[in-house]
Amino acid sequence: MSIFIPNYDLPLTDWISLGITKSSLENVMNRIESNESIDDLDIKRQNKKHISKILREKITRQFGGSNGEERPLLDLVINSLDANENYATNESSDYAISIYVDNKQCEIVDSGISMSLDNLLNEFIIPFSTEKEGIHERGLHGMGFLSTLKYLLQRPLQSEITVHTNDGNSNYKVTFYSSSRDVEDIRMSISKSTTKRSQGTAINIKHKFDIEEIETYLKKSLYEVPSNEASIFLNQTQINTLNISPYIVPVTQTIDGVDHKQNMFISFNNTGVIRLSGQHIPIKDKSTSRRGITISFPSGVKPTEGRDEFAINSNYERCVNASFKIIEDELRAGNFSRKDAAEFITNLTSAYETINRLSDIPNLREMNKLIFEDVHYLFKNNNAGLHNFMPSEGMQDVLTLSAPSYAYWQKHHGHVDEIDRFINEKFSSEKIPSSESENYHKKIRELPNLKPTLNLLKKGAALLDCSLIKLGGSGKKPFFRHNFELFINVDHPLVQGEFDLGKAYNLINELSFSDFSIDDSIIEKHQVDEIAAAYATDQMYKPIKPEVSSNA
Amino acid sequence: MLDINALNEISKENLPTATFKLADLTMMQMAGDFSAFEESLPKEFGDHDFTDSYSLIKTTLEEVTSPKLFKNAVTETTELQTGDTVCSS
Repeated sequence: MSIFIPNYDLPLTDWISLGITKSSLENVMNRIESNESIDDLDIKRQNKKHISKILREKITRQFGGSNGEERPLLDLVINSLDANENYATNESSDYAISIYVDNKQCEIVDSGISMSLDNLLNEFIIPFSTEKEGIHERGLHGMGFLSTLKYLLQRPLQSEITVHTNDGNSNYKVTFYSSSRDVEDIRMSISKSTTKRSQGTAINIKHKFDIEEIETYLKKSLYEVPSNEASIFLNQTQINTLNISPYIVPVTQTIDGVDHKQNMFISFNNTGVIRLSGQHIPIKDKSTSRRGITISFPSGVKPTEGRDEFAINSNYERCVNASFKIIEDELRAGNFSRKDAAEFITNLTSAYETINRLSDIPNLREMNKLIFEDVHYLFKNNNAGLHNFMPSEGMQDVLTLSAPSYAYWQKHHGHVDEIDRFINEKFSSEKIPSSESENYHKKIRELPNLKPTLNLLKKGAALLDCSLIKLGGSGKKPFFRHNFELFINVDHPLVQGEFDLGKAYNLINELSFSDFSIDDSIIEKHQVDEIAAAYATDQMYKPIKPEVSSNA
Repeated sequence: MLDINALNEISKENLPTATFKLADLTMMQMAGDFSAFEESLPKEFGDHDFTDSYSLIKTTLEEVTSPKLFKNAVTETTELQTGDTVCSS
């Protein structure tokens, strides 16, 4: 003899109305558990329009933007991660989540803590339900199951969502469907399940899916979930196989007015990307210099509904501060060069919403000391030509930063971009005397290879002051131009020695075509060619490759 | 049509005022008897007695399965959609 198993079918708004008050919830649960009819239940339909509005808010508004099609599926996987009994203990487990997807359906199956009838009616279907809120759960980050109902509104009468639950005591089959694109026409049916299933939850969504997009999105979103926490399979292939050993940083988080210690995970890599994640689910990426970092906030830090930023509150600020402490530790351990650290901190600062300037960083003083302890000169990258001009041993107390980093750091470091001061303080320099003076001709006799260059400058570059400096090393380039001053390295091999036409010609070329680039208005290329041609006509000329010393 | 001048005149009167939490009003709309709540509001000039209104909110609060739900609905629709912290209670 077969047992009659009733199917309870109502508009979703009615189920929500029943689920949010104690008396009606108790009443409907008793009826379902004892297979009685619910037709005569008193449902407060006068509240329907308000419940519909809240439900619409939850289903439709949170579904827009990029990845709108795939994102609800990610939230289901996040719910499955929450369902892991061992998650709160941080213990390794064999917990597995399986995702199957083809172009007609997607199914997500886990063996975690499932839902009772009470959970289904009082939490699962209630918009903005907070009962699942806990200090460990990722569900705080997910928009939850309700966001998947948009699939029903996209393809009414065709799409359907079925949830199978088994909490160890009871099995239920819950089906959602809609006859129109209106939230009020979404219906939910509940029946006790006759299918034998193991503990856990299985959610099947019949809908038209783009497999490739879903696979790409889920892989990208889930690959950083630690595999010791859960193995996530997508069409039978594990997608979270990343082997990382992150810093695990305990941070105080205030949840519902109570302080908890939660773990934040920080790992460094060479991806050149700063990634801010919410419990290992990527939320925001920012490009940086060579070193990359992944910072995974705990559940106390909540992403915004659009999942592209975090809500700014004390929990977020504590995590931000803790992350800078880790950067300081890395600096102390010598894992950052000074330049990389300064650039990296600038980029991380701009990635955080709460840090508008370096002085907002709590341990700025310590990091400033570590980075700039022996730095006396701070330059912007646009003075990179100086690095080619100076012997490397002369640049040990110089730090050159990109323009954005320079803007951040220079006021804290207390130095400004002072090339003149740098050169004057470190090296003796001598202005080239007037070309009419005896001293000028004496100097030319000492440095004959410079003569064509100086003639050229005299002819075309009256505004350019020239200074000879002794660098004590050869440097890579013989010239460095700063504003309207041209510094000449008298120790450079092209400058040194008896007159050599090749050296002289190459000096002109260095002047004209090197990376500091003399303006066309000062020296035009045809002038260089004219002088070179004159020399080439007078003597058998062959350009030579300049000899650069090995320590340059 | 809204008459701004009339509203300005009314605002000068000694009208009853009370402060309700937005979350409580949301709760009354979703789970309570909002018509009864509207009826409970004082309607006479000089009447500042909101006892019945607060009593209805208290009764509904005791009856709902998840009192935090409504605060959360307000918080999420403001804080988490803008990224800014607000106080919804």
